Amino acid sequence: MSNEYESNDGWGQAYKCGGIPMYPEEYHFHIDNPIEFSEDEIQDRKMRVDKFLNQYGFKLTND
Amino acid sequence: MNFRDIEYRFSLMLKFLSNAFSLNEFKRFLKDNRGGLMLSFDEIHIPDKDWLDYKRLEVDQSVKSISPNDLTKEFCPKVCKLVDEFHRKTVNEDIEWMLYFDYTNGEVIYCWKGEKGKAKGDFENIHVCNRKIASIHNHPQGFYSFPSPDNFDILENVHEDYEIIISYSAFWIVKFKGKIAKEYRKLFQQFLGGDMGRIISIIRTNCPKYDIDNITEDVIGNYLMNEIDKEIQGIDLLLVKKEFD
Repeated sequence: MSNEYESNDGWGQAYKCGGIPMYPEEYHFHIDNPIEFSEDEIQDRKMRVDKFLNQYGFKLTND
Repeated sequence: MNFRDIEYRFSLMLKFLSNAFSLNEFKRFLKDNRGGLMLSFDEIHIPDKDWLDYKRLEVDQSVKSISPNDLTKEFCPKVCKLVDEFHRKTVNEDIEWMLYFDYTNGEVIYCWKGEKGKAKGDFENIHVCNRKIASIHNHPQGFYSFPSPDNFDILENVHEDYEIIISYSAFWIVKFKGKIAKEYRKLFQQFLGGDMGRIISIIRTNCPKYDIDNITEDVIGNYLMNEIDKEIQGIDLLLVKKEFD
């Protein structure tokens, strides 16, 4: 949710999410009108995360 | 009706009868349901109900304190005390509380009482635009300490320089002085949401149930501290994490 700030006059809305719920609650990030990514962009991002997770012993990529 | 309601209504009547308001001002005040505004107007301080409730929260003296050394030097001593008190007051709460305050003088501008998992409220720009604003909110027990993608709305909030997030196990400080356009803020949050979702999914699939939450705290905390972009549209993003032992 965004906080619109247009000028010194007028109103804004403050919103703070209380965090991601712990297991076993499910987490789904929602954003209005999400940006469409290409398949390549999606795979690049996934590879980046998996490479990071390798250091924890998950071995999701071959590096 | 409980005691707090009675006291609140009584204070309203006293202010009215004291002629501190014109009738029009009093009617405007009665319609004011945005909650949270702490600044006095007409030189008469009107306690907001959420603020009254917040002030009455028990202070838990058993939890570890947050010292000024844990915070930024830009926070005045009154603010350091405010942050520590907020931690002690909200650590056992199962709902979310949020304050907006001026971090140069410790003046609380807004106070909002939320619910489990979120807090929100309206503010008038005129009360924040010429101040140095920091927000503070708590993540109730059952929620991870680290900022969620939604907690990076600060990237678009020109009025908010610091966001402090207090939880049972740790506190985080997000510093971002400036504002980026909405589309870049959404892009950042969408990327982060996807990354966090994948990390959480893999941990939950591969790790023993009793260890999932500790591992998630550790791994995503590390991801936020070391893997996400720390300069966004030319503005530095600073993340600080301090664990309570």
